[in-house]
Amino acid sequence: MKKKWFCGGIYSEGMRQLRMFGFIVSSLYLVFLIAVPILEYIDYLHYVENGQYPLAVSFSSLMEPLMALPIFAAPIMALIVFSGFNKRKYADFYHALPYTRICIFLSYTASILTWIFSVLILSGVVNLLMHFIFPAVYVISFAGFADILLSMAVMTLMTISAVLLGCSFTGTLLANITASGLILFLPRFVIILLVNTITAKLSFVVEEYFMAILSTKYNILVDYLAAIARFGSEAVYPLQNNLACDLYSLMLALAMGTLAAILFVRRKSESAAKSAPRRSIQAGIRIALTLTFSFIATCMLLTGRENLSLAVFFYIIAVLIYFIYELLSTRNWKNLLKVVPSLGIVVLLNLAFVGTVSTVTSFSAAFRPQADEIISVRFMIDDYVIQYEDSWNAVGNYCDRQVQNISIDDPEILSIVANVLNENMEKFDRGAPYYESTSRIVAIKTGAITRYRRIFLSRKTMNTLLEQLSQLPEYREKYLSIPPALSGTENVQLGSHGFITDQKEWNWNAILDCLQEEIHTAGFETWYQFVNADLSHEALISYATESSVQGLTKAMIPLSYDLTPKTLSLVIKENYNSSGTAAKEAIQVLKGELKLDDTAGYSTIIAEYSYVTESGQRETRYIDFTDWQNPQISQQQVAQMMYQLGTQLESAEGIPCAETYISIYYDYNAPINGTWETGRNLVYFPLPRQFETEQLAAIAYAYGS
Amino acid sequence: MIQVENLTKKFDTYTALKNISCTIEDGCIYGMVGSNGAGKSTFLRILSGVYKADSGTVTMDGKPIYENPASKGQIAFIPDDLYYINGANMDRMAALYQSLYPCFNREKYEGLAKELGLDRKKSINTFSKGMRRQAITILTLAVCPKYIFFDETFDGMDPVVRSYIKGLICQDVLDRGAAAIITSHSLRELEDTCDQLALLHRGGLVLESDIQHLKTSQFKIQIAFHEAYDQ
Repeated sequence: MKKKWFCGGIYSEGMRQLRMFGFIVSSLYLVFLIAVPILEYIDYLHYVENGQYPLAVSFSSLMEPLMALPIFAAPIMALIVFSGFNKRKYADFYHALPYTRICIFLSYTASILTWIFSVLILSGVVNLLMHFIFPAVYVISFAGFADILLSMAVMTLMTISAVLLGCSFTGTLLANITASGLILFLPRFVIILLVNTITAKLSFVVEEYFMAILSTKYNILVDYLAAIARFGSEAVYPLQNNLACDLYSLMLALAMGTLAAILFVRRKSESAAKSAPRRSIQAGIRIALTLTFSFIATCMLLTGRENLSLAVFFYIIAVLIYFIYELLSTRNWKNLLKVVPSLGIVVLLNLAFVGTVSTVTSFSAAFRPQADEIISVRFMIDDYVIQYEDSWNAVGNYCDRQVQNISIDDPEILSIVANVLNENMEKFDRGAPYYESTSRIVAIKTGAITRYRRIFLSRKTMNTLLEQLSQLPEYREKYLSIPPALSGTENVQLGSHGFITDQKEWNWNAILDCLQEEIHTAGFETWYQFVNADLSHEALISYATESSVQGLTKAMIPLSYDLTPKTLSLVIKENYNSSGTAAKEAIQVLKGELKLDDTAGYSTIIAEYSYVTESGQRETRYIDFTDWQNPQISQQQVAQMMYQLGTQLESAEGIPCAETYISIYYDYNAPINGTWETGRNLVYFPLPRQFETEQLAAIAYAYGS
Repeated sequence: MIQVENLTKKFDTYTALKNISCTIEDGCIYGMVGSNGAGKSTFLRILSGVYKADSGTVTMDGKPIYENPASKGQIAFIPDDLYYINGANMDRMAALYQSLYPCFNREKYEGLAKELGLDRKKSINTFSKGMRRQAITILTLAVCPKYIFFDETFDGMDPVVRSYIKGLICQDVLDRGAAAIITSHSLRELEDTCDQLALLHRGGLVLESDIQHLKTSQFKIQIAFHEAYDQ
C-alpha cells in the first residue's frame, strides 16, 4: 500500500529540490512582515511626539506583496518539481522506480504543498505576533484575517493544480507554462468576453446576475487579478468576501488536481521533451492560444463597427501567435505549412462564438412577460455600477441593500414593471434609444425562474412606482430603518477628499440615532429620491452589515444639509474634535496666530472653498497658505471666516448652506525620513447661507483659477 | 524469470519492436546486440516498466511489470543516458537511492567506491564520462536487485574497470541468483560474459541462442582468391 500512494523518499527529494526557492520566498516574506510594523512603529512614535494622529497599517493593506505566494511562488514551485519530467533521463529514472506513478505524483505534490502552506502558516503566525507586539500600528481584523488566509490558500491550490495539469500532458517548459495558463484563465476569459459582449448589446441584461454561477467572483483568482488590473493595490476587497466563492474555487482546484493525477498516470515517459504527446493535443494548445486574441477581435466587431481597425489588428496578432507558437514549440519550419488547415478550426470557433452571442441575445430579448405572468419582483441594488466605479470604497447605498430581498406581488407594481419592460423592449426592437434618466434592476420571477432586468423609467413613472412602494408597509419600514452601529462602521467621506478611516472613538450611537430620526422626518418618497439621486453628497457614511455567508460587508448612507442637517453637524463636530493638535495648529495658521514654519511639520495648508454663483454654477477655489505672496488682507478675510465658523461650530446652531463649504487639508513633510506624507481632510466647514455674498465673491474673484 | 511474448512497441508511426518473444531465466546473463535503432534500449525500458508495451505481455514470475511496484522493486536499470542530480556528489545520490530502494546496501556502495577509487564527496558533474558510468553502476549494484539491466553501460569505461564490473555482475549472479541483461553494439563485449545472446535488428529478434551453441554451430569462413573472380 505504501508504495502505491506515497513515498517518503520522493517526498523528501521534492522538499530538497524546493529548498533553495522555498528558503528565498520564506525569507522575503519574513523580512517584509517583520520590517513593516517596525518601520510603522518608528513613524508612529514621531507622529505622537508631534501631536499628530497616526494612521495604522492593516493586514489587508499589506496584501499586494503577500499575493505573490499564490500567484507566483506556488506555480513556480510546481514547475520546479514537475518540469523535471520534461527530460528523458529524469522521466526514465523516476518511472523505473518501484513506485506507481500516482505515488510519484502525490509524493511530489505533497512536498510542494508542504512548502507553500508552511510559508502561509508562518506568515499568519508572524502577522499575529506583530499585531500583539505593535497593536497601535498594526491592525488586524480577525474576521477578515481568516477570510484572506483562506482565500490565499484556495488560490494557491488553484495555481498549483493548473500547473500540475499543464505539466501532466505536455513535455517542454514552454508547453507546460502555456497549457497551465490556458487552463487557468481561458475558460473565464471566454465567459467574460461572452457576457460583456452580450450585456454591451443588451443594456437591459444585468451582468452581475447574468449566468450567475459563471460570474467572475466565483473564480477568486481571476476576480482578484481582474480587480488588480482595475484598482491596483486596493483589490483586497474580493478576498474578504464570500465563502461560497471560496468553496467553488476550491472545488475547481480539486477537479483540476484530480484530472492532473489521472493524466500524469497515463502520461508516457517517451512524451518527455515533446511539446505535446500527440499532434491533436499540440493543435489544441495552439488553437486555444490563438482563440484568446481572435475572440477579442470578434467581440470588438460584435460591439461596434468603430472598432474595425483594432479588431483587424487583433486578428493579425492571433494568426501570428498561431504560427509563432508552433515554431517555438516544435522548432520545425515545415510544420508551419502543415498547420495552416487547422486555422479553419479557429474560424469555426469564432463563428460559434458569434452564434452563441446571437442566440443568447435573441433568447434574452424574447423575455417580455405580461403583468399577469409575473409572480413577484424584487428591486435590486446596482452592484455592478457601484462596484466598478473608480474606487472600491463605493459599495452601494444601504437602504437599497436592505430591501432587495423583499418579494413584491402588488398588482399595480407588477403592472408598472411589465409595462416599462415591454416599452423598453419595443424600442429596442425598433433600434430606438430606450435609456431614461432613471433605471432600476428588477428580479422578475415567472414560474420557477427568476430573471434580472434593468428597466429604464421616466421620472413620472418613477414617481408613480414610488407612490406604490410607499404603500407597502414592510418595504417602507425597511427603507427608512437603520439598525445600530456594528463594528466596522468607521468610515466617513466628507466632501471630495476621500474616506477618513479613524473614527472608532466617535459616538456612533448618537449619530445613527439622530440620523434615524431625520430619515423618518423626511419621509419615504423624499428619502428614496435622495439616496438614489445621481448627485455627489456632502458626506457619506460607510455602514457595516453582517451576513453569515458574505461576512462583513459595507453599504453607504448619504448625508445632506437639507435632509440630515443635525446628523451632518454631529459628524463634522466629531471630525473636528478628533483632529487633535494638528487641526488646532492649522486653524491658528489661518488666523495668523502661528507661522507655518513654527508648526510641527506642515509644508502646505490649503483652504478649498466652494460656492454657487448667481447663475447656479458651482465654483471651487483654492487658497494656498504657503504662498506668502498673497495680500495680507485676503488672508485676514479668510481668517475671519474661520473664526466665525469656529464659533458657529461650537454653538452648532443654524442650518448651513448645502452648496457651499470650505475645507482645509494639508501636506505634511515628515522630517524624520524626509518623505512626503499627504495629510487627510483636516477640517470641513459648511458655510452659512449669509456667506453667499459679495464678500465671498470678492475673495473668489481675487484668487481666480 | 522474465517472460516476453509478442511484444510490440510503436512511437507514433515508427515500430521500435515487432513481436518480440524471449525468456530470461533467473541466474542468467543475457546479452543483446544490435545496430543503432534496433530497439535494444526500448526493450530494456519496457522490461523496467518505464514504457508500456502497445501489445504483447511482459511478466516477471508471472506478474506484469508495468505499474507494479512489487515487480519493479526487483529490477534496477542503468540507462544509456544517465540521470543524476545536478551538482550532487555520490553520497548525495546514495542518500537518494537509499530513500528510494529499501534494499540499498550502504556498505557495498562504499566498498565499491573505494575499490574503484571514486571520490564520493566530489560533484559528479566533475567526473569524466567513464567515471560517471562507474558511479551510477556502483549505486545500482548496491541496490542488490534480482534483475539488473545495463544499457550500453560499458561504453566509455576503460578495459580494467570493464573487467571489474563484469566480475561484479558474475559475482552477483553466483551469490544471489541475480539475472542481468546487457546490451551492446559489440558482440565481443558480451561473448565472454553472457551465457545467452540475442540479436536484434530493426525491431525484430533475429537470433536468440545459448552463447556456446552460437560459438559452435556457426562459423565464418574467409576465402582469398589469387585473381579477381569473375562470375
